[in-house]
Formats: sequence, structure tokens, C-alpha cells
Amino acid sequence: MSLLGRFFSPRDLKLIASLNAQLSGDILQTEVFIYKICPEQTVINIYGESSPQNGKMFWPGVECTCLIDRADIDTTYDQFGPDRNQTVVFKFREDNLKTVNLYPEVGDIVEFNKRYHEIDNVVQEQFLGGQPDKSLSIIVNTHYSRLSKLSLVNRQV
Amino acid sequence: MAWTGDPNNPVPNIGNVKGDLSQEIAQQSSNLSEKKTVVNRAYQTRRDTDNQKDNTVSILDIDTAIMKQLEKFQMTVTDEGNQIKVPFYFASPEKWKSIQKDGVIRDYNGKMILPAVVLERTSSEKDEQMMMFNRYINYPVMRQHSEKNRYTKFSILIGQNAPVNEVYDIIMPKHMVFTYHFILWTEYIEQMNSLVEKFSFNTDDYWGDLRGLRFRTKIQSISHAVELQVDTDRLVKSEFDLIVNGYILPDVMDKLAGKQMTAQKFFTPKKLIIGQETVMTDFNPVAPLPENTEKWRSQDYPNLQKDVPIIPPPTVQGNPLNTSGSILQ
Repeated sequence: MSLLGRFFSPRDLKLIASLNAQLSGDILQTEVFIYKICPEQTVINIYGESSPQNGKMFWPGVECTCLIDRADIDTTYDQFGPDRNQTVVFKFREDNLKTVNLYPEVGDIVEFNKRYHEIDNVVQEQFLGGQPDKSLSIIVNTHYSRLSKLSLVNRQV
Repeated sequence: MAWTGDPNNPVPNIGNVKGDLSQEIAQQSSNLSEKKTVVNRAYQTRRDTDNQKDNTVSILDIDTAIMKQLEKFQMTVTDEGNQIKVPFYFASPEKWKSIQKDGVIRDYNGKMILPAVVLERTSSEKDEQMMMFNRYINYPVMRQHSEKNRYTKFSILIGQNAPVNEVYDIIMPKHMVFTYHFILWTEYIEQMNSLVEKFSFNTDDYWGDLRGLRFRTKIQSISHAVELQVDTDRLVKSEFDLIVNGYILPDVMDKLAGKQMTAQKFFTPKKLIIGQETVMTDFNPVAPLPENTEKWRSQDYPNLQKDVPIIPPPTVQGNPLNTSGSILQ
């Protein structure tokens, strides 16, 4: 199947992909783990939430390289005292995710810097030349998630 | 330059006066001070030697009673099959305490871990149903045991005496209605259900310590919400107001006559009871006395019998004393 569009031929795409792979994999080397939730194994109760008896079930984490755009972690205060919040944007190469056959979705978890970030939004809009077939990246918007809603690590008790 | 006062001591202070003048000024100040005109010495009892604690009820006691009751609930929720203890705190603690001491409810980076319960006292108003029309009414409480009734040898001799009782005259407390606002956070509605059931079933009852202070509580309604916002985790939240009928009793109150302890100690009067003793004999006041038992109607010897001779005192002729001063034999 040939790619549409006069610009960004397959040869150009290959060049861009190799440059990006070298940049993220060999130079920057910022690695994260992506934990995809396993909906088939997660028991759901009548409220549409994972059952507290079993918790959420995740597939084993997959290591990927990406660009990370981190906002400053901020502290909010309520009746319970201070709470930490942070939004982080992880920018994956689509080719890299295709290789490991992992498509991040809302609700999946990205681990970075010993923090677990729940994916809120998946952006797949970087089309070279405006062609969907020439998608370059998958960008996920995440927020710093509480440990108590994860089943990945033990609670700090 | 004229004298403009002592900048180091701008307030008149008799402490700077030396010598006898200071005593005189102090005495004059004492005479001018307000004095209580009526002094009841029955209330002048020392309290520094007894071990009786004054009965005071502070707002802290009420808060503590609520917290103790929450401890007794032993609230837990199920998380991944494990029973997780639900922590509860007073709302809005100091920042350092939240981060450095409450590590159980936060991860290593300070992010909250649920479930959690916080409460805060939002209002306190007087109880209209428990109004006292006279705030000077006392409630006497008698303590049966007193160290003044200790077993001594003297108490054996004085067998019948009314024991001293210690009476504590306590001012009637001020009844108030306190409202505590509770906020419950959990990850799942299923977890919240167990907490709401626990609170709903255990109110309309007295909360507190079994051997301490207890206060009547009730919950009118509980609101439930699930917060689902962008860039934050899903949160299950419930709120309710706990209404507590409590009362406060400080240790000192201000009367018109001055400050007065709300719990005043005094003793009941000690009595020596001398009972009426009746001795039964066969004495007949109407019958004539026997001749031998008849007594002289003499003013000098009223109890001497008639037939008893009166022996005259010994007499000595001449100087009865010898040279050494003793009586001659």
C-alpha cells in the first residue's frame, strides 16, 4: 500500500524515524514503564468501578523511551492537609509502540521517577503532511496518581 | 531640662520604693483594693493537698470523646482483599504535621492515599432545650470517704460521732450543641458504603468513653458525591454533620463578687453525739428512807449517813513543827 501525499515519502519517513529513534533511544534515554490495564481480568461492581476485593489487574509493564514534558509539581491544601499534584506529558514514537504492540489508552499507567501517572488523554495528531498514515507520535497527558487506586505497589502502611 | 519620667519604668511601681515606705504603700493599696465583704469560712478549704480532681468539662474533652469513639469504631475498608485501617484526623492540621508525621496517609512524594476521614468543629451554639435560668445554681456532690474520718484511738473513745463528709458544690454546666463536619474520602463507592453504614448505625447514641465523658450525638443526613475531574483522580466523597449535645464547665467562673471556682469544696459540720442514758433502779422517792441510809440534812456533809461518827482532826500541843520544819510525831 503506497502512502498518499507528495511530501514525506517513505524514504523521508524512514530518515525521520531513524533520527528520532537515535535521539530518544541512544542520546536522551529517558525510559518509562507503561502498564496497560487488563479489563478482562478486572472485576467490576455495579458502580462501574473495580471491585475493592480484587483491585485492578494490569499487564506487566513495558519499557519505552519517550520525551517527557513535566510540569512543576504543586501542592494544594484542603481539610486533609497538603496534597501533591502534577501533570506530565509523555511523547512516544509511534513506531516504537508499534514494535512492542502497545497502544496506550485512558486509564493505563505510566511509571516514571517512581511515580505512577494515570493517562487522561491520548493525542495522536502529529500527521506528517496531514496524512493520518504518516502519524509520527503518540502523546499521552497524564496526572500523578494515588497509590491507593493502583494495584501495582503495596500501600505505604 | 525638666524631669520627664523614668523611661525604664514608665508605670508607677511600688517595687522601686525602698525601705518601710514600700510596706506602707503596699498596705494602702491593699486597703483600697476591692474586697469580698462576705467571707464564708466553710469554703476556706485548701485544695493543694487533696487528690480530688476538679470536675471540669472543656471543649477539648468533647473533641477527645468524639475521637475516642472513632477509635472504638475500628473502621476498615477492603482494598485488594486486604483490610485497610481508615485513618481519621482533625481537619486542617499544621503543614509539617501533615507531611512529616502523617506519613501513613501519603506516599513518598506526599500524594494522598485513601481512604481517609477528617472532621472539624464548625459551630457551637447554646442548647435551647437545656437552658438554665439561674447560672448560679449549684449541684452538691457528696463524697463519702474523707481523710478526716480516719480510724484513730480518739475515734474509739468517741464512738458516736457524725462523720465529716466532703461536699463538692459544682456549678451547673452550660449546655451547648456542637456541630462537627465530617468528610469521608475513599477510592470506591463500595468502600464508602461500609463507612456510611458504620456512622449511620452508631449515631443517635452516646459517644465517648465508658468510664469518662459521654455525649449524645445524631446525624441528620449524609451527602454523597463522586468527583471526576480532569487531571485528578476519581474520588468518592461523603459529608455529614454530626450534632453533639455537650456541655462545658470551666474551672473558674466570674461572678459579680469576683472569680470563683466552679467546684467548691466544703465539709459537713462534725458533731459529737451525746445520747440520753436512762438507768433503771428500784429507788422509790415516795417511800421513807431507812434510818441508816438517811443522810444528814447538813449543809457541810450532805452525803454522810447519820450514824457515821465524824472523827475530829488530830491535835498537837505546843509548836507542832520541829527545827527541820517537819511535823512532830
